[in-house]
Amino acid sequence: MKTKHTKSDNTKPQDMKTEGMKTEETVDTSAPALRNADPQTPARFTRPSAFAFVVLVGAAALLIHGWTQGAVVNPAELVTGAGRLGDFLADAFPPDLDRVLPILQSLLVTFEMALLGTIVGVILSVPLAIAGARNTSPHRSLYYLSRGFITVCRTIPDLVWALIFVIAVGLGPQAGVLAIAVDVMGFCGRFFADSIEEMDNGVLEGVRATGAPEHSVIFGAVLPTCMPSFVATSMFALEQATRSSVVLGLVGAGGIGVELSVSMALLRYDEAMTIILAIFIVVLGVERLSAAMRQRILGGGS
Amino acid sequence: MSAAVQLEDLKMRFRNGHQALDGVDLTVEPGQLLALTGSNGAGKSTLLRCMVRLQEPTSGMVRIHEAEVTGASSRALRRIRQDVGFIFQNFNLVDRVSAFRNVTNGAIARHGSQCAVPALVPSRVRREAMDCLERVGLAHLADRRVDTLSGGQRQRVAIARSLMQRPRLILADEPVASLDPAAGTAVMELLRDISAERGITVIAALHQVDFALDYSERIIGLRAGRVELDESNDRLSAERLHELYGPAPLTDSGTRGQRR
Repeated sequence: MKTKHTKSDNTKPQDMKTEGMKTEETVDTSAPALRNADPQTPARFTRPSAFAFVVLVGAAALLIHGWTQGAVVNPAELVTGAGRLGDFLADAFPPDLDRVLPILQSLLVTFEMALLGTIVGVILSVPLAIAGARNTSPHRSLYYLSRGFITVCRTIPDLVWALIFVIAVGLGPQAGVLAIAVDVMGFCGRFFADSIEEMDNGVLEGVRATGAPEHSVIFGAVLPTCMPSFVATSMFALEQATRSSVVLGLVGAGGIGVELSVSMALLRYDEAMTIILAIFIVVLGVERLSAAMRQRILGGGS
Repeated sequence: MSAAVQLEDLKMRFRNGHQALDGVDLTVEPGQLLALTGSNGAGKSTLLRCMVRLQEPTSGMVRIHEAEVTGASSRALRRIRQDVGFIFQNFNLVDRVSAFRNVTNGAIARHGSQCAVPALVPSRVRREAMDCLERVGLAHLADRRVDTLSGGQRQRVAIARSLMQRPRLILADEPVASLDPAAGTAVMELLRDISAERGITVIAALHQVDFALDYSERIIGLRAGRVELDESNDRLSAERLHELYGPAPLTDSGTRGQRR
């Protein structure tokens, strides 16, 4: 049955090309007959497509290779690990509040790092997005250049940017600010550009038709239209920046991360717990604040 | 007096192969109110849009107030557009800002880019913008966001924006098609009055035959991208105009309207 199907399917197209034109009836009657000689219940299992097969085999190969390299979840070690985690928690509580003031101070600097980095990143994102949106880009080459730059900013993780900027400007918060700014450019540049591209083309046309030059079309139509989306995206970027500013200190780019890694290295787990809790409160606070502001802008706008 | 608009053998072919304009020749005298009629797809909008190159014509020539539009540099094109108001079916205003700010946008070409930023708009431009809003009867709504206005009000804001350009020509692409009859009448009356007051040439694409007959001095009928009819209003009967939409003469193989 099966072989017959494939065989006739193979010969069919040639038949159609050479003779099908002349006698249409033969094609019409024979084609359904070949497809469905005896209709039956669909098979219980369908054979995976070649693509799915390749994906599955590839994933399996990666997992096996990873296993040989130690990328495993080992139940036995999980049990002993949980025990050690218990030791950590036992040491960590109650949190040591002796150094709470310097910790809060350094947390404040961390947030200020995030804030400045976000502001710089958002400001630089606007021209990037205008050049990187199809409907406002001055030139095709600028469009690709800008989109490419945004992609580079986005795909390289912020910790790597921090390492790079530590080399450039030395240890300290300035490296963190720069790393966050670049990270924000990758995020905001992309979403700002997308939001410009989503604009109704008629709005642009309406201003262009008055004879206004392109840069005033930006100020007169694009910015006012996209402003709510820009602000909401920026608030979201600030949230992310606050979260990532916490870990940037781990590579020496300033902020609370430095304190945390020192406490951990000195096995001062109770002090580390104070830092972790403080981080938790600040990040949660920024998240709530930004969510409330986004709600206000997007919900109350129109 | 020189012509307001001159078109010579204007052709426009879309990328999908549709021939929207198939050789249009037209001369419009200054101060005229001219109606462009024709069924959907006859090329009315395309013709208007090609005149100021919101769409690029494939071939032919457009001249507005003796300046050649086709082949103009982008700077020259902006200078030509400065004198030409364009009214759209869907208003094409910036919805999120006030009526007033939309009107000052009309001054950008003449007074420079500072008119795009509310804080920098010169006082005389602000006064003129209020005059324009006053003329269309919306001065009391200057501060209102455009997306809170009705369709008829929005179209009048759009007309105020084009008045801000101090235009010599207004191209109106289905200015009343999205409006209810009362608002439509108000907009057509406004267009007729400003045309008469200020000697502005108005070319309006209209598919309501009644509006075309009531408000225009001259009527151009398009069919399949060609000028099929060109008459001054007083010599034209409603029947003749309705024919443009109705069946083609029976000798014409009977496949009217749906070709292509």
